Amino acid sequence: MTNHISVVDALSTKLVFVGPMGAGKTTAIASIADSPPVSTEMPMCEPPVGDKTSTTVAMDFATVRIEDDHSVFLYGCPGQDHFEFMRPILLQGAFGAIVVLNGADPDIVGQSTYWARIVTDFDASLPMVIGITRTDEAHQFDLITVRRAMRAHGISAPVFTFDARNRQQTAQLVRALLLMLD
Amino acid sequence: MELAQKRGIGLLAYASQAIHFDKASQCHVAEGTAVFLVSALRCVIDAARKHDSAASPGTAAASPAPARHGNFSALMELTHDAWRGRDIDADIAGRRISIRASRGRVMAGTLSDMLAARDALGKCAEPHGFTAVPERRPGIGEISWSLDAFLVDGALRCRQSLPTFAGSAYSLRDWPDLGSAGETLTPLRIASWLQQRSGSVQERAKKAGIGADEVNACLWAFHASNLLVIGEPPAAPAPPAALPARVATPLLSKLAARFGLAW
Repeated sequence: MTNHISVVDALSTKLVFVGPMGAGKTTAIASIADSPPVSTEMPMCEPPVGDKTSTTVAMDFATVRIEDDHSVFLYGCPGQDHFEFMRPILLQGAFGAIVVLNGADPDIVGQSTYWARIVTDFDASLPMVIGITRTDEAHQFDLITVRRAMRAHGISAPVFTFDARNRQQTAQLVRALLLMLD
Repeated sequence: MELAQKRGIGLLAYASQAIHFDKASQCHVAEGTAVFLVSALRCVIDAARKHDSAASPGTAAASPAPARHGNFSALMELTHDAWRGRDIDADIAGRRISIRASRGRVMAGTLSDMLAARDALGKCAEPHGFTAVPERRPGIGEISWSLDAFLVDGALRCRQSLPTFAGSAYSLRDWPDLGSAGETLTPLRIASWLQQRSGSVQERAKKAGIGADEVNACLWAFHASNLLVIGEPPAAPAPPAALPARVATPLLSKLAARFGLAW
């Protein structure tokens, strides 16, 4: 019976990370989870991206225990478009979404609106935070243009730069999401 | 040394006996760590450069600092219309940084310079310490950080010396980029209240046990970031009709507490 209650509660304590391949979703989940995520990492059939040789093909899953038998369930969507059918499955019932993007991508502006639209097309009222990684590597990274592009698409989500390896910085994205629910 | 003095060449004299120099580009150091010596050397070089550029006006494409009177901190100076929202190269406490407001970034040659400049935002701005540069000019050095986080962290460090921010009604154009801010909770909560545009941010902060000086520091920082709209806040967007709560309130509180927030 206890297990049944936990599953019902889980519908409202589900947080989903979305974004392109290699942006840092798995790393971000790992940085705040209580234990290493259960990943479906497989060797990439495309050329490696930097030192990345494997990618998520179904989902990442991890938990953050909050109290007693309550946990937040963290899910990471695969970034490749041929797994797009997984996105609505994972976003269903989530209390929010964190879009993780690679700031070193030359098309970061296009990527930001593309991925934010994936979330808003699924549910326009779903609270969302945009997290951009690797901005320290991209000297021409332009946050203001990203903000403008989001605004032009009617999206008012917070846009944060962060280091996905850093627990405190990833937690900051979750905090912003929680404040949007307050 | 005499020749350097005579010609006004930049000079750092390292000697146990005190030597007096008249020029800003010449100084004496009796003892100190390597870091201190490097800092002194930087001051000498910067002073010599300023002397050179003053001697040959019109050689720089950048705009000079407008004359201002009074002892303004670097942070206060950055809120001035002449600098706010503009790309500038700045000399803060002898550390060179590039503020690229057009991209929301700040750059420095070393992490040490970045952190020292942040920590000195509350100190008096040096005369002609800021220079406007054309938009998107590459910045100094390889170290790059969020401008919003830089300003918020710096403002909170000097919060006790900041004057009270004028007015009582504010809102934000955008969420500040606080993902990498060292001070994580207070600026985020204040930004959230300003985004919600409901009620006085000072009153809400008081109820939440946040000090008035912290609110004040965040307002100065958000203003320097060119994110703050001062005056009557625009009407809050109509709340979505009867949206179901995504998380039950008790559970949301537990969740918030787990991530360091409490309400």
